[in-house]
Amino acid sequence: MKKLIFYITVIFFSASLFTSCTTDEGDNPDRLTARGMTMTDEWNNATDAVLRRYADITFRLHHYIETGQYCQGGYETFIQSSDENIWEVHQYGENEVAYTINTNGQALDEIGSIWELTSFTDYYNNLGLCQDDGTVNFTITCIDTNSWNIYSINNDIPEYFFDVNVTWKNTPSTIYEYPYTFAGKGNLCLNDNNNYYYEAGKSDYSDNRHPGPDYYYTNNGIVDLSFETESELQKTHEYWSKGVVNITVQNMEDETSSTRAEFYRKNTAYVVKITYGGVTEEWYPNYYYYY
Amino acid sequence: MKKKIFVCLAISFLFSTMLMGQAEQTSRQNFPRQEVSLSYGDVLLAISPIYDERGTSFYPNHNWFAPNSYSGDEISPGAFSLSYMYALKKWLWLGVSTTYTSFYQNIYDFSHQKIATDSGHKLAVIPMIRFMYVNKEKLNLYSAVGIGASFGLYNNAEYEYHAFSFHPVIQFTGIGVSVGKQLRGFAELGCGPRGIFNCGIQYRFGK
Repeated sequence: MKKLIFYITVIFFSASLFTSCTTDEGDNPDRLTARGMTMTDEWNNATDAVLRRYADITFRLHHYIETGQYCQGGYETFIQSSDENIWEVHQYGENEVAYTINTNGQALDEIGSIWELTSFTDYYNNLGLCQDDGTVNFTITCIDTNSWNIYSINNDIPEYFFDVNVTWKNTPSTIYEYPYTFAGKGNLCLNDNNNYYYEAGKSDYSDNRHPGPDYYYTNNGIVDLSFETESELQKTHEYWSKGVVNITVQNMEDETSSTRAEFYRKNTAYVVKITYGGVTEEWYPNYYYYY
Repeated sequence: MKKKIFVCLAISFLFSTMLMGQAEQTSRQNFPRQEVSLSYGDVLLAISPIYDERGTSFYPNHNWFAPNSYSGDEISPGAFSLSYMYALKKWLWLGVSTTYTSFYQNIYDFSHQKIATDSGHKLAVIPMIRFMYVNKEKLNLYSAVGIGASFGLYNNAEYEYHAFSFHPVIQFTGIGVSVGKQLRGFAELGCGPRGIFNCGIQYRFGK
């Protein structure tokens, strides 16, 4: 009997050495706002794509009309149509017209001028702005000195729109030439109606403890991303340096999720303060920039 | 794959039963032929049903529409084994080992309050063969090996979701030492569901 007690004691002593052994590390509770950061990334990508595709080309044309010179690094050809106010834009030397731009006989930096842009080739990744006839339509209105309103609405699905005011210190020849301010709102579709399932893959914010693959969305679904600036944003040619934007995503099951992103700089570093699920954390974003 | 595993298991059991049957016909020896043991081992090499189902913890969670929750560490209280062995000869034992292991992982909301506990349970059933190379009355040294199957159950309390898993397992005991008479203590080093290290008590009977 004594031996039995001895052995049982040994077993339980040994057992205590291993009790509650951790077999897999848990999530990182210091990064609870990661979803908010990825939403901010997607918002940044979407707004950047809109400005790059539909606003930048008008400034390039403006530069061409003013100077007779193409912007450096440009890949488009401007051809004036029989209506001298309408310019056809060909890209990459293709015969197909990628855009038409109606200047209405006004200079782009003239207050009150309205330029109308129609895109014919953005069937994919059109961010919800492509209408049933295959076109994406934008108006760029000069609302003040070096300030423009960039506006589009999908007339067939009017919930998708983009309505933003941007301001430069000088009239830009391309949208990335100078830092600019950004204020407004919009509702974009991150994956359009072309059965193109957008699954973003591994996040840049997976840390070593939690490597991906991670997916941003569920159910292969279309996700709407709406945004509204809370205070005017400022963008350098690298990243957002100031301002606040509120972002909401909604999937086809009508589930929603929201975040608030506040941009600022610490010394030279870009910082985003993300508020998500009642938690606020600072992030140092990954960004890419072009000259 | 599952069919093959079942076939292997069945053959192993059949083989051990046949050998036991043959052993009955050999001349009687004056040593206990049967043994039951209870032991406890670590889970350092264990792969939990939670891991099987979910992979490693996937936060930062980029599913924008998932609940605002995160997972704590996955923990396990250890591997508990119950086995039965039968001696064909003094140096050759056959039997079966069953090992139960449980795993738990707390789920917390963003205010760090626990909202659920996911769990995983594993039961490994392994026919074993043991070779005694030191076979004194009060001291045995041995090695053992076995191939069997592991059955897993994953219970996701957060989503009220269950999943079953099944895969083959190998138990290898490099060295084991057993001390005592009828009631004995033992310790083993090896790898497999029983743990890298496991120890416990044995009871031998049936001379």
